[in-house]
Amino acid sequence: MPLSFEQILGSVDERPTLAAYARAAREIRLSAEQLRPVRISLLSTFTIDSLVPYLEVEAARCGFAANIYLGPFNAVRQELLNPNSECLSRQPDIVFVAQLLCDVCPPLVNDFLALDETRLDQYVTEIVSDTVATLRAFRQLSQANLVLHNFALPSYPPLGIYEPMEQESQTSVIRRLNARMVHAVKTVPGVYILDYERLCADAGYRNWQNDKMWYLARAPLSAEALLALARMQTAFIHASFGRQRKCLVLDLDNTLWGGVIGEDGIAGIQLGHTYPGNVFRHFQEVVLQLHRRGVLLAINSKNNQTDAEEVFRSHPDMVLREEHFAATRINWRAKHENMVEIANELNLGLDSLVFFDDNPAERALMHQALPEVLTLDMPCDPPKYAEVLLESRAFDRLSFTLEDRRRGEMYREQAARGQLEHTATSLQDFLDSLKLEISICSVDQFAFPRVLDLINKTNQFNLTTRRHSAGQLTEMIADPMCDAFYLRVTDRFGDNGIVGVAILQLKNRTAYIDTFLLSCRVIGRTLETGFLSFLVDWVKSQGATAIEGEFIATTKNAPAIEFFALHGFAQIGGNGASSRWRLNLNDVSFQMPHYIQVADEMRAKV
Amino acid sequence: MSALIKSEDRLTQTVAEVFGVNPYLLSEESSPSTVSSWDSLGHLNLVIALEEEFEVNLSAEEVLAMRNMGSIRRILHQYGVQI
Repeated sequence: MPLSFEQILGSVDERPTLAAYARAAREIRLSAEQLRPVRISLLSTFTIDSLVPYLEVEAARCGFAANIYLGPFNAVRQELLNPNSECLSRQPDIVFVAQLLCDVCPPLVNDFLALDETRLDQYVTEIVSDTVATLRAFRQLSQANLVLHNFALPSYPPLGIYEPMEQESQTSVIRRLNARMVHAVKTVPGVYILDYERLCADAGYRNWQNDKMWYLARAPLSAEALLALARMQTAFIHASFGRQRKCLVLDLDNTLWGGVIGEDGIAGIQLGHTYPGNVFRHFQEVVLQLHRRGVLLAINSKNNQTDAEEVFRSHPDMVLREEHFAATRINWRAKHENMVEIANELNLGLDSLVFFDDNPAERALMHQALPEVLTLDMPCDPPKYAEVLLESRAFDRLSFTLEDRRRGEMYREQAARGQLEHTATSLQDFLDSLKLEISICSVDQFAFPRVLDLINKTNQFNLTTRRHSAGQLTEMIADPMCDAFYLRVTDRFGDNGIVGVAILQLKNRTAYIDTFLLSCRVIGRTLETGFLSFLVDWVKSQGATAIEGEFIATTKNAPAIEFFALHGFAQIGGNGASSRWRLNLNDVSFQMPHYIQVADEMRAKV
Repeated sequence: MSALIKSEDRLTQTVAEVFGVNPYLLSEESSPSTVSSWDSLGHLNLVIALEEEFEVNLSAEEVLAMRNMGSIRRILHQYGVQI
């Protein structure tokens, strides 16, 4: 009988050795059809073959069947630039480029002290410009995400203890090189840096390197390094293709503070600047940092609400305050019922939620009742809370946008809108009083990351749920027959930021809708009518006579199901989950709703 | 032809796990020429696995001297490993 994934993963957790990983990788291959396939190309300037079993197993942990292509030894550029290379002809989803400075630029490693400042600068500039040129050329050939390792610092600095005092030390030159690389790489869409330097430092340079294997086979990575690197690469795979978690749902007693508020009272709980209270205070700081990174927070706790509120309002050492939480359920009901309510209130799918609770029984119940929720295996020892939460990488992303920074604030504004909606006497009244103002622009480099984020995250108001990589989106924008627009919305409560995306393809005087989506934050305000009305005017000006689109049903996009019918499109085909719709532009019966102001100066730009 | 060795032996287990072969088919003569996945890259994996399993730090010379199961066992014995 084949082993279950849990048994296989359990075996490597118990014994994380190469032998165990090699065996687990073989067992996983036997039942890989349950996993989502991802084609990985691993290019390297050194021998990295031993990474494969680790990467296969760690990818499976995140739900992926890793189909790994290992490039020939030290042929990175050939593999990336030759359109017929094995790497490119396999059409990878993601490419990892592992490089060592001693391979990329030997003098910077071996002759460092013999080089003058001009020469040093020349080498650094050359590496950066070569890399960018290679990446740009690669981008023309492939739409895969590319993850480039940066350079590690020397484990034995040439100047010994004086190294930190010298401005032009090898250490500082490599740091500068890494910084310039980030800057340069950001000009190529879909390319990301893996902080290899940081990874080595985490393990310790001496533990990272296996000298004997380096000399024997140019295989520098120790067993510990292989595992750490596989985990980090998996985080990139997950952030590229995996389910993005959006909200952290927390318990209170023995999670945000030590002890039980209902029994110990506000003066008795552990929370403060000395042990054990400092452990919980620090954990709250970590959670607050996640919040500032764009993760929504919610509470799901069995307590008397007034007891908990007292802590939030009057405990001097609370870092988290009520304002940081987008939804709160403090009551004595079953936690999975609360969880469903939280998801509904925030307009999120259950699979966007992460549950953190110290009580193993509550976790087991949650896991059983709502397997879509990621229930983290929280350690018994509070000092390890932060590590487990962050190491889960549940909230790791490949971008950090203005919308992420402002997300918490935006949800508070959303709550104020909810209040208004309750007091308004009619929907019309509500929409009138919101003072909606929109602007619609072609997607430019500033909007690009957020637009990419929306395309890959939006589930509900999304007609086609087509996901596009950075490379694909770049290609679409560059195509003269394709137009990509974003929608930005402001109202009396604040700026909602970029909340809508439409991509149209013009062919034979018909505009085809590739993508049309709205963020769940702004569903129910008829913005789709405003957006569509703009698109109608736009495609008319481009000579089109009709718009065609598809509705591709998923388990989540019911909010968009009526979109075509409501706007007078006629169904022209389709079966079951997918239907095709067409609107002749002479028959358009809707217009920009009168309560939506269009910011004209922005519109003129398109 | 030497007798088949016991499959519960830790060395046999490790070799079998790394190369994905049936431990009952391994003997002291098993080597890169009898086990198909035991190529030079497979040898790297085997060395890492042996060092982890037996908590030893092998020298480069020893890595090169490991030509078959029997020679690996002799080298591990020198480290006082009981197998």
